[in-house]
Amino acid sequence: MKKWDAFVAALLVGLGLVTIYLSKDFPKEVSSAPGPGFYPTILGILLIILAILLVLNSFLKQSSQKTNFWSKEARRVYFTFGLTVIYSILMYYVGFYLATVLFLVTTMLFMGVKKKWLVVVMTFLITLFIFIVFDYFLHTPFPTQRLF
Amino acid sequence: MAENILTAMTQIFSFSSIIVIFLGVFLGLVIGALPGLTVTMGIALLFPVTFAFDGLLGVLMLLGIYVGAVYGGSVSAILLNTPGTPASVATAMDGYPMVKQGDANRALSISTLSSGIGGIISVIALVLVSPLLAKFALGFSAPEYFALAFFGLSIISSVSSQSVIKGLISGVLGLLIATIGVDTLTGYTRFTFDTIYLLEGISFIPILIGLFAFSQALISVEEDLGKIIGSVKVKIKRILPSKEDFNKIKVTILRSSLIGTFIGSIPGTGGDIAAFISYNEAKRFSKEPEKFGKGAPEGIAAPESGNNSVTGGAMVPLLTLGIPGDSVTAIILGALMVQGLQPGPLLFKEQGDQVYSIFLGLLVANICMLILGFLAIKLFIKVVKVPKSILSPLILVLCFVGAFAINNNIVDVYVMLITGIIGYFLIKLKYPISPIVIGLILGPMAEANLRRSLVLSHGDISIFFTRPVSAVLLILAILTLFYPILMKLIKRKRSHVEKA
Repeated sequence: MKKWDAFVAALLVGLGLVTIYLSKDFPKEVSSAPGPGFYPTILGILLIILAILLVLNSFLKQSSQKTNFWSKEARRVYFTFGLTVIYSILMYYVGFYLATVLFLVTTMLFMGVKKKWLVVVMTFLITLFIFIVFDYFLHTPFPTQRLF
Repeated sequence: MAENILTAMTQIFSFSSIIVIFLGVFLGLVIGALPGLTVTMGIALLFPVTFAFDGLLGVLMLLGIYVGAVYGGSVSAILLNTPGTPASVATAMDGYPMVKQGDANRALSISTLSSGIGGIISVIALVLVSPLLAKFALGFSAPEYFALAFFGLSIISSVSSQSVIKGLISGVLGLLIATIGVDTLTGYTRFTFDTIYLLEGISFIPILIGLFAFSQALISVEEDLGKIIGSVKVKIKRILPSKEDFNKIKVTILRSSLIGTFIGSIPGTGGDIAAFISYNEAKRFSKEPEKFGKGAPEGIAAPESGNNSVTGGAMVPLLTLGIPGDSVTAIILGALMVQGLQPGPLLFKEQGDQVYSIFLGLLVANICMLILGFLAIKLFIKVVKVPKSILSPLILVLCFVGAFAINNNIVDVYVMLITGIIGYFLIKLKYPISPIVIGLILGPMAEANLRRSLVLSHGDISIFFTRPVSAVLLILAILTLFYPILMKLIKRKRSHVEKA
């Protein structure tokens, strides 16, 4: 956990510095009160202070907690996330519905649904539900295919 | 006022309103009953659906979802001993033992009745108290509003039980995201990197879906996949609780509802605290406290009416002052704003009919919940058994659909994906998520009123301390902020003393 606290703290200090840097060119004063850069600058400073406190706290405290980012379960999450990224790109090219069907079938099989008929039925029902609620009632203009 | 109530009645007691509320409660119930789905996730996922109905109808549906989901959480707590939300942990203590004795039916009917009555009592309290509070708050100006927003933000420390520092970091991140876009006071654009998408700021809903639905779905892919859900065999004999049970629990319900309403109206608390205090009080007042934990009907009635009456209580500060009490109400506040309602004292003055419609809508939602709870018990028992391997893909797809449907913009989908994966890592590193949303919602209110006050006082910060209401609120905020830290220190001191 300590390693990760330090890593997050470094990111936060970076973010705080960037915020302060980007805010420095905003008008200093508007109608004799602080301008638009005043508040983000405070937030940037707060972020840096909190990052320092985080590191101090983590080194003062003994923690046996371990966070594993490469366990079998965690890798399952990355794979799932990868599938969702592919899904988001695919829907742009092959259209929303085809992409959704492909995504649902793949993820259900990946997550271990054994019965093939269940995959088919659930995919159909979920897609139908989305069609009725979002397409029919909400008139959501889902992306259509643009390959051909 | 009478005029407002009449307008509200014609609005609520129409076919479309009742159907929409009913639908909301139903959807909320299903989501709440699914094990592992929280109330916040339910609202984040279903909020886009409420866009099918414009204006008040959408708001009514949202309230229905809220009421339904809070109740639904206890179904899985009772049947599977896996509480869907922290608020139903206490329910499982007596609910599950009763199920094991073969009385699932009895446990569910007691829970339904207590939840319904708890909700209704809290709405009555809301109707009585909030107009008075709103009237008082009408005299507020910029310094008071800043103090109020700051007070709202100070609850971050009490919702971040594991680490106050991490909670505050999440909160500041939320505040920072809220500054992106056009500055409301000067029209100056900030942190937009010359993109048109960021001009209006990052839209709230994709972030919400990413943080509360997408990331949670990823967490459940990691933790729950492959876990076998216990099976329950439930025979439905009767749907209403017996007269004997009713007589046993009626005093408990009344007491717990009042406790829940009161606790709900204090920002920074929530359903879990209300449920536990109600449970403890019921045990303390009981003639047979030894039966608690072994399936006592009062042990189900108390936490159930306690956590459901939080719904009405939490609406008091939300509607009158515009500050949320917990993460769920923070989301509802954001949702109301997206639907075009700005909660706060002015809402009572300018859109009184809308306020009374919300009151009545909440009342109808609780009645719908009672009816659905009794009629559809059989269905919810089935819902509880849906495996994660089907549920997770469904939730993931709904995240995409919801994020897209809000503005029909594919960029929103990418925002949802990015906040979702960031949210996943934050949860893994034990950063609480709700402070981000609280910061996001209260940030603009805090900043605008801070700077407006300073314009009024020509840059003199003493304006916040010389006005009595803002001074009191700021002191309260500082106390709320440091309370958990102080308690920790005191505990540590005590244990040191005891050791020595």
